[in-house]
Order: sequence, then C-alpha cells, then structure tokens
Amino acid sequence: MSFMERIQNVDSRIIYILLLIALSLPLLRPIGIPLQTDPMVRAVYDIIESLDPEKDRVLLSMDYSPGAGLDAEVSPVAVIQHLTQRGIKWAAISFGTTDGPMMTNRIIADLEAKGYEYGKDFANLGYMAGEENAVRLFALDCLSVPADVRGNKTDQLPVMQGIKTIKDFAFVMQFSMSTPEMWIRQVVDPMGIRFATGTVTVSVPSIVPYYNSGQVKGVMGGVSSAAQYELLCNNPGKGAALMDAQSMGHLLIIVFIVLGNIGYFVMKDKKDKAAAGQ
Amino acid sequence: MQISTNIWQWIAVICIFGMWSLPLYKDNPFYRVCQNVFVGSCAGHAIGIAIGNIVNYGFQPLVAQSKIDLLIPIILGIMLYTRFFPGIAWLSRWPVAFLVGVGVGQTIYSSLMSQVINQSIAAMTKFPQPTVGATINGLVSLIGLLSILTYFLFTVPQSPFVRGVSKVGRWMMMVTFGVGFGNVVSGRLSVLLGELLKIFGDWLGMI
Repeated sequence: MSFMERIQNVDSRIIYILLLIALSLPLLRPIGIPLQTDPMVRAVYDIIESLDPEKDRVLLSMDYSPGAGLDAEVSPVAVIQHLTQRGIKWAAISFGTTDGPMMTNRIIADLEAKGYEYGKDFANLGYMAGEENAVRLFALDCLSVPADVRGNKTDQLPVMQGIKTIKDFAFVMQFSMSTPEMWIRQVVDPMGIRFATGTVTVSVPSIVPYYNSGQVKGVMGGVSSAAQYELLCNNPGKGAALMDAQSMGHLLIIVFIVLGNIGYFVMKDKKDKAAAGQ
Repeated sequence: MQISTNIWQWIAVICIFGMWSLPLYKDNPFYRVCQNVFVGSCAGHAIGIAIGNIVNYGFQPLVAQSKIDLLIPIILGIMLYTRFFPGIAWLSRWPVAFLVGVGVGQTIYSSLMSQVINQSIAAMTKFPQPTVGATINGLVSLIGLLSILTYFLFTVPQSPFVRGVSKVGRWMMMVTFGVGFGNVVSGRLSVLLGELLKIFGDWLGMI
C-alpha cells in the first residue's frame, strides 16, 4: 500500500490520539499565541463598560447545559466576572433548559467564595417553563417569577427592587447553545431593549445577520470569544488558557484535511490514468 | 502534581474515560454504564426541576394566594396524560391544540417582523459606505443574497445568465457551509478541551 493510499485509510483512532496529544501539550506548556479582538466581542465589553453601577441592572438568560462543555460556559463566566468587578448587579433566569439554574449556581458559588453577596449583588431566579411564551410573560412582568432558587420572594430581593418589566434592565444578555430568535421576536424588537448574546461556536454564523441588522448588539461565541473578553478585562482565565491548545487543534485538523485532499486527488488521478490505459 | 482527593472529581474523570473508550476502543460495558449514569442523572435532574416548577408556579399560588384561574392550566396539563388511557385518550388533543394555538399566535406576527421585515431592511445596504472595507462587505452580502435567492428560483427559464448567477450562489453557500463546519470543529474541540482541563487541572492538579 502506497503512502497516499495509507493517508486515505488512516485509522480514526490514530487521529484521535494525535489530537489528544496536540491539545494536551499546549495545555501543560502554554505557547502564548497572540489574539485579536473581534468587534462583536468588543461590543459586549463596551456596553458593560458604559453601564452605571449605581443604578443599572443586568438580566442574564442562562440557557445552556453541561453537555455543551466549556464552549458554552466560559463566556458567561467572563462576562459575569466583568459585571461583578464593576459592581453591576445582575439577575439570572433560564428559559431554554432546566440545567440553566444549576450552571448559574456554579458561577455564584465562586462569587460567594470571593465575598460577593447573594440577593444584593446577584440572584438566580431559576427556570421558567414555556420557552417563548415564558420569555414574553417575564418581559412584561418580571415579578411573575414568585421566588428564586433559594426560596426568597422575588419582589423582596434587593437586586430586583424597582424592576417591573424587562425595560427596567439596562442590558439583557442570553447565554445559550443555539440562536436567540425567541428573544428577538418576543422582546428585542417589540420592546426595544439592548440585547447581546453568548453562544456556542457553531451558532455564531447564524447570529451574525442579527448583529449586522442591529437587533443583537454584541455576540460572543465559544472559547475564543471568552479568551478575547478576558484579555479586554485584563483578567486572563480559562478562555485565555485554552486558546493555545485550541489553535494547535485547529492546525492539526487543517493538516489532516490538506493531507486527506492531496491523497484523494492523487488517487483519483491514478485511477483516471489506469482507466484511460485500459 | 497533586491528585484530587475529591470523590466527585474521580467519578467525573472515570466517566470521561468511559466515554472515550467508545471511539478509542469499541462499544463496551464500561462505556454503557457511564452513558446510563449520564442519561439517568440528566433525567432525574429535569424531573426534579419540573416538579419544582409545578409547585412554584401552580400549586403554591393556587393554594396560598387562591389564584383560581391557575386551575385551567393545571387541568389542561393533567389532560395531556389521558393519552395513556385508550378510552379517554382523545382528551389529550385539547391541551395540545391549545399549546399549538398559543404558540402559533405568539410567533406568527413576531417572526414575520423580526426575521423577514427587519432582516430585509438590514439587507438593503447603502452604497458607498463610510469605509472601503464596509463597502466591500456590503457588496459581498448583496451579491450573496441575490445569487443564493436565484439558485432557488426554479420557476424561471434557466438561461445562461441565470445559471451563472446560480453558480455564484452555490459557491456562496459552499463557503457558508465551510464556515459552519469550521465552527462545529472548533466547538467540539472546546468540549474536548474542557475534559482535558478536568483531567489535567481538577483531577491531576498539573495546571
């Protein structure tokens, strides 16, 4: 079997092992590949920088599950760190998945360990069933959620004081595993709120048209966006630490694709010539 | 290196190795046990949250605040389960019809406004734009939009001009699918990186 034939029939397990090695080495020994900031990510940063910690409140819709892994989790962590650093109060709620409150609690546990106060600095309003209808109901009456995940009455939480409708939030951001159409349809366009989204990498191309139209003011997608955001905040975290490994993984996959294509075309050429010879 | 003494870190890492055993080896009992643990814990969590929701949004306001109107959704919700009883299974169609009706009513106007009208307005680019880059971007978007729409025009004669524009549309779509595939790869790598971080960081303490 020639080299080109071998390339065409490589055991997928060899590719998996090479990928594991390519990802593990930069994790253990970072290289420091430079990053450029995407305007869509900078837009989110600029919005949060423009908020007034004294009076502005932020709503976060946490609609992602553990199954989406770090691709979904690093963006909200980066944004919430920025919010808490600036002293901006925020409330989180989930409409898209029942796992949302659990993912919020993971972040809140870290913040409480650092001395931030639940209820005063932030709150987790839990999961509200009904997806699109629930989003609309909450937008019109934020106190339709009777209690948070800890059993506190919503209207008695310090962070929710003065909040009646979604227009009372200065900024709304959804973190999800897909696209934010239900927010755009039910809240952004009818009520004219300032809205941005954080999602998994695969969903970013579907959201760009909404960013270009101005319906979505900023977009964060996966680990690379979180890394850029962390660097904008001068607060390198998980996202920045993972970017070297991510880049090495991309490089290896590009090499595989190029080799696979060379092998395909060389073999095709050989077969064509053989067919012409017969 | 300092290996974690937390039992949950060990369980998480054992489950990661169990999941990896499928692509790196083959289907095996270790993989299936880990898979069932994942599915079972997810289902249990979802059921717990669902029960909490019914209590918080249904029974508590009904009993504590005497919100009698909540009886309607509670009864409709119970009617959904009549499909398990053949004699009265037809009753489950009523809440389904209600859900479909509300869903369609809620989205039909807003979809048209947000995803058709507002997007169409955004596609109407002014030329020239303030910068050369923005003008080129706008041109590419416009050409992409028109050529892809032409590709799906099946009711006009396929003249050489229409075929040419369709071909441009096809290339545009291939580039778009390529970008989508690239993002899928990037996203999956992030998930794998999360697992590696758990192994090298949380479990082995090497990061």
